[in-house]
Amino acid sequence: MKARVERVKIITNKKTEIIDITDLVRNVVKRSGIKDGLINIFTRHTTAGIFLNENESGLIRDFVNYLHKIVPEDDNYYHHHFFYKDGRAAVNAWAHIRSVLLGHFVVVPLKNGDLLLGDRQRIFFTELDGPQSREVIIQVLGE
Amino acid sequence: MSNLAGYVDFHIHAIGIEELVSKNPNLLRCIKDVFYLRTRPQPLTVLIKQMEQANVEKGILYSIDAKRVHNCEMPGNDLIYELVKEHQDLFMGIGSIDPLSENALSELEKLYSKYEFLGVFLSPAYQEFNPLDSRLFKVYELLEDSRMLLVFHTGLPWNNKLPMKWSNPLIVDDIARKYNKLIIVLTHMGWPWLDDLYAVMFRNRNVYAITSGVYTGSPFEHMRTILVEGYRKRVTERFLSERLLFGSEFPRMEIWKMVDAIERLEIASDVKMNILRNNALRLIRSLGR
Repeated sequence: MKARVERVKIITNKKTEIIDITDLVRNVVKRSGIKDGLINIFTRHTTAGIFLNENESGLIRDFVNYLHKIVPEDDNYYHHHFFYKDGRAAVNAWAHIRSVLLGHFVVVPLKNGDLLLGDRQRIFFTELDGPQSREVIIQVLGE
Repeated sequence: MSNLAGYVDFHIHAIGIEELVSKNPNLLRCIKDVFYLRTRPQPLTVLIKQMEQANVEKGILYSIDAKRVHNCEMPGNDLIYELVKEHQDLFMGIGSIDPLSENALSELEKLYSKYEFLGVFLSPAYQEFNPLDSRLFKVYELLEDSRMLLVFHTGLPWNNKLPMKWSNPLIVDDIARKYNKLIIVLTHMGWPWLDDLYAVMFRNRNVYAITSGVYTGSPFEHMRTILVEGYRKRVTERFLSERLLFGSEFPRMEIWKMVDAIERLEIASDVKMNILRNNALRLIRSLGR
C-alpha cells in the first residue's frame, strides 16, 4: 500500500471562516499518483474544524450563524483564565466547543483517482478563532 | 494620520512574527522564556489581517531592550524600523533602550533622529530597574525636551521570574510631577493597582493609560471590570475619557477580541471612540507627527 502525506498551510482571514478545500485535496491526490484508497483530511488545531457539506453561500452563512447561536462567545466559561503554559489568557472556549461539534477530520473514499463525494458534497476547513496561520494534513492511502 | 477612519492600537508587541524570528533566532527563546508567550509565531500577514478584522488602521509596534538582564532584544529597534518603513500606512514605532546603559542618551537620540519613533518603552519588570533611580533623570529630561513619549510597563507581569516591585503605577507619580511636560503612558491600566493608577492620572494631566492586558476573564469581562463596574464607569466617562488609549497587547491577545470588548461596553459612544481612536490621534498629533 502506498501512502502520501502533505501538510498544507492556509492563512485565514476572519474570526470564523468556512473554506472549501476540495480542489486543494484533489491536487494532493493527483500529486500522490494513488488511484484507489482513502483520503484522510485532518487538522491538528483545537479551534478549527473539518466537515463535509454543500457549498451554497446562504448555507455557509447559516453554518456560521448557527455555530455562533449554539455556542455563544459570552458565557461563564471555566476555560477563561490565565494559561501559564501559554503565557496568555485563554479566552476562546467557544472556539474549542464549536471545533468539537464540527470534528477534526473526514475520510473520503478514492476510486480511479476520483474522490467519491456526493454530488453536493464538498470538503470544508473551518477557522473558528482567526485570522491565523493554519495547517491541514492530507493523507492519501491506497494503490 | 488625520484621514484615519479606523481605530488605533497603541500596544502591539512586534514579536511572535515568523519573519522576525527567522532574522533573529535568539528571539524565539526570548519570547518563550522572558516575554513568556508560548504560542506559535505567526507570519506578519496574520497581524495585518487581525488589524483588518478589528478595523484597526494604525498599529503602534513596541520593542523591549532586555539585553542587560536577559540577553534579549524583543525584537530590536532595527527590526521595528524595518517593519514601520515597509508598512508606513499601517505601523508606527516605539523603541526601547536600556535606561541604565552608559549609551542610553545616544540610543535615545537615535530613536528620535534616525528611526523617528514616537517614543520609548521602558519596563522595570523586564529590564529590572527602579524608575526613581536618579541615573534615569537625564533620560526623562531628554524625552521631555525631544517631545517623545515615555511608555512605562505597569501592571502585573505574568512571568513570575520577573520582579513586580516597580510595576505599581504609584511609582510614576514623582516622575510625572517633576517632568510635567513629559507625556507618560502606562500600560495594562496598571492592573491590579487600578485605584493607584487613578490617583496618578487624577493628579497628573500628562499621564495616559492603555487598556491592554486581560487578567480577570474574557476580554469583555475584564474590560467591564476595569472600565465600567462599580464607580469605574463614572471615572472612565467623566475623568479619564480623553486620556485612555486602546491597546490589544497582540500577540498576547487577538486584536478583534479587545476591540469587540470596548465596542460592547456600557459607556457613552463618544467615550468609546475616544478610547479606540480619537485620543491616540490627538496624542500623536501633539508630538508633531
